[in-house]
Amino acid sequence: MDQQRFLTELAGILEAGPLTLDRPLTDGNWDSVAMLSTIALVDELCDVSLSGRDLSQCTTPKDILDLIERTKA
Amino acid sequence: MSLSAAIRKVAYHLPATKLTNDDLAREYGDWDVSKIYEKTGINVRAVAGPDECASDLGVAAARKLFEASDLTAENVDYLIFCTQSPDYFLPATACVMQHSLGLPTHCAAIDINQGCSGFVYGLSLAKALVESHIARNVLLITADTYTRYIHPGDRSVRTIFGDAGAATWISGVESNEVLIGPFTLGTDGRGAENLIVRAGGARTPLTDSAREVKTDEAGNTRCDANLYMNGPEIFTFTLRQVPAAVRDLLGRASIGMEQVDYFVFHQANRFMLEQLRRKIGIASEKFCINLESVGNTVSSTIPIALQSAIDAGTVAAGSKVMLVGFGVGYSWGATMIQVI
Repeated sequence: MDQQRFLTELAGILEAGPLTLDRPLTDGNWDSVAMLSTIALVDELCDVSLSGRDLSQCTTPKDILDLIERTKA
Repeated sequence: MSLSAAIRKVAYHLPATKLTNDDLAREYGDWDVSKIYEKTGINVRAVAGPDECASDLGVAAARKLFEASDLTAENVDYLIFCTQSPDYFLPATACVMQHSLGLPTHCAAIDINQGCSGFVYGLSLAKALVESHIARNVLLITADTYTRYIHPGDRSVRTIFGDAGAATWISGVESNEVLIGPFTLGTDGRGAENLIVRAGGARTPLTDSAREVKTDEAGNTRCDANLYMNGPEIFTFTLRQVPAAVRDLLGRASIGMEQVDYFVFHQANRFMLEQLRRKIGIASEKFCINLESVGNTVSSTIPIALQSAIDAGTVAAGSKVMLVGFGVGYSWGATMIQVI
């Protein structure tokens, strides 16, 4: 997956400024609507369906990328 | 020629009380109406009054059906009532409605408990009853009052659900074509806890602790007797299951996507529908979005959207329409119909 595109799109979802891998998601608007949008984004970018419950445990973009890898496996 | 079950007519009824996005904005204060409309596609929801039960909505829809078609009460010999908000634990609400509607006493009447997939399940039963000559005229009524289950402080579901009833007449016509079917049906009870009213039945009685209102991390309030929905989990389920159901149905029907004239999915919310449409690869002009003035009315969304498409001339006699229901359970069902 194109990591830079993921970060750019995720920043748009969170309505935050530029994101780094370790920036807390809660710096942006990390609500249930943002989670739905993130599930849709990941599904579109890499055809992976993330569990909503697992996604809600993520605190940084890196956590989400790790979750994608775990889900793929 | 053989006997093929067909949808003869659909009618629906919406309660008079409306809940608009502006109403919600006034109530919640910090509400971003435009964002919620953008995601849900809903502006107005119809809400049952305090004395209005699902059976009342269903009876009103059936009376409209009788007025709009050749079906009369005395000719109905099988009533299927699909609801998750019955009037009583017992008797079956369908039995109460048999009397309210003046259906003959030789009419069979049963309730089925399904939500968003309920209309497709009802059609599968109606087709089987008609084509096996058990019934001649099946009246399939879907109606729910989910808003009764919703805590006023729970925005996650209050923005989405509305109340409605729909009545559909299914009977046999002499035809060499399949007018309802084939079907793809499925269940995954692992998702039961993600869309649930937990308390009030035998498993969790309505005790004081079940009535205790709690606030979740998103600031939504509810108790165990209220509707709870884990939106992200439901969304993940639909992204996984609905495209697979569509592919399976096309295979069973031995047709390609291009041979389907119109797609009517359960009207969950616009965001979810658009994601599904893109993922499956359906052209927007062949894909129904019918939410703005009704909201998500559970098992009634498909018949309401179908009849709206017929009224608008989007589909007409001969159109092949795919119907797909999915949600609470988890439960899903998909079928093809031909409009007659």
